[in-house]
Amino acid sequence: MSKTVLIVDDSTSLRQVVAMTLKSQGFEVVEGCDGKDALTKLDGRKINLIVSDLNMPNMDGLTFVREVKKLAAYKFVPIIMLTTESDEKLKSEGQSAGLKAWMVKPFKPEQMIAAVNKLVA
Amino acid sequence: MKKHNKNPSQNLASLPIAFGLGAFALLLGAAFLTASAWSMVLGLGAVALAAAGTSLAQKPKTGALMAQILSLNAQLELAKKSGEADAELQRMASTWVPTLNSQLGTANSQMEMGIVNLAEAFSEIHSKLNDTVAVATDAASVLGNTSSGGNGLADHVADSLNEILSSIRNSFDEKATIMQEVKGFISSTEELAKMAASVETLAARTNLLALNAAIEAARAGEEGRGFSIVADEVRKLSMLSAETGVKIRQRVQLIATAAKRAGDGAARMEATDEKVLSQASETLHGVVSQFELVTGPLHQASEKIIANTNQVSSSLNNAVVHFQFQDRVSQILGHVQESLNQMKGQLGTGVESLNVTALMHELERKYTMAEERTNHGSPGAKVMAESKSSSASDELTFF
Repeated sequence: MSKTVLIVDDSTSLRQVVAMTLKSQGFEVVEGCDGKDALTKLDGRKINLIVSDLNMPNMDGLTFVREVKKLAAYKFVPIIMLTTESDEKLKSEGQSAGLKAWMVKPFKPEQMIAAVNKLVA
Repeated sequence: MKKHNKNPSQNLASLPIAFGLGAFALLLGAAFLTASAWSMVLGLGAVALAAAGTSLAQKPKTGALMAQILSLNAQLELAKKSGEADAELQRMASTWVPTLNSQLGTANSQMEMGIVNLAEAFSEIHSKLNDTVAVATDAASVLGNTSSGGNGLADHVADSLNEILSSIRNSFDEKATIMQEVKGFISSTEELAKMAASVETLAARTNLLALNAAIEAARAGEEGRGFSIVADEVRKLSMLSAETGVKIRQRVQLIATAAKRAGDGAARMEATDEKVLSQASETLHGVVSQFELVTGPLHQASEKIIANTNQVSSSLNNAVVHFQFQDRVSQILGHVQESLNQMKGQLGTGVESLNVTALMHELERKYTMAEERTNHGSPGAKVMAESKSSSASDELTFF
């Protein structure tokens, strides 16, 4: 049975390229345009991994991560932050919030695939 | 200050006229009293000289006044211009900035739309390529390697056809074995015919013996009666044996004829079978060779498709990295728009509210990329940008 990844980013084109990369490896994808929208997708459906942007309107990435960690059904779902930011302080904040990985944009497809496969294994 | 200067200059300017009028009145009075115009003329000359002297004495003060007047005029012009500049700034905030923002917004959304459509097309190409690779891989594995005798499709076909040939050969061999049996059968029937002829011969001899015995029994008279009965019985038996012998001979003859016919047919088939087997073998090998002529190039083509498709996939993967430029550009444009809006907000409450330091600080606070910080010229930004390496460890961090 194929695994499902939730992609959260306010950029439509970015969501598209991430989806294209993951679908080529047999993953199913679900998309959210910001943290608030993405929370509505966590409605009981099976999610194996989340890839989220940091800077988004309505609800930023770190707030979204903290909200996900409060949901019993999704508390242990691994989350990757995919962002243009590379500041060490932000990375540390992300780690404290419960992130499993921090990936800087632009991402390489082989890197994304390796990271996702490692975290959903 | 301007008002102070006005009264003294006005007073000074009217003095010569007052003195001139007074002097003229005095001269008129003098001319009237002396009843002589010459005194009036001389007096006028004196007044003229006095007036000239007065004006010469006044000239430096007038220059200063002019300079002051010119200065005041310039300040008035400046005040007028700054009032216009203020109005222009207001217009910039209410008209130019929103227009720029609209253009930025349009550029951003058009770029996003273009990239979304491009990414969709690429996604389809990527998907079709993956399908092609899967199909080509399956085809290549099925076709296999035909040139070196591996487990290729042509080899499988050749093996299957050889098995068929082998089965045919086996069945022909079985027929040959049966043929041998038939030949054996024919020789057995020949022997049976001989045995049947022997039986007939024996029966005829027995009959003769029985006849002789009957004759001797008759010759023996009364004492030979019993022997005569035996002789009769023996004669009957011999006749029965003779009949049976004939029947056996006839049946054996029939069987021998049928066996011979079967044997002749089998012999004819044997000759044909060899020819057919030879032709079949030749044909099958020809088919396999032609099959190899087709599967060989097909296999090579499949492998080439796989190699080319993998190269294209690799190029597409590089394109995926470049596609992400739109996200970065969009963020930068967004920050520019926000800053323009803030400037508009400041100018909206008056020129004096314009605070470039605050604008720059707020702009820097919103930055999300190293390039933005470098462009801003913030102290640590260049150092950070130069020291930042683009190694994989920076791009991906696991916790």
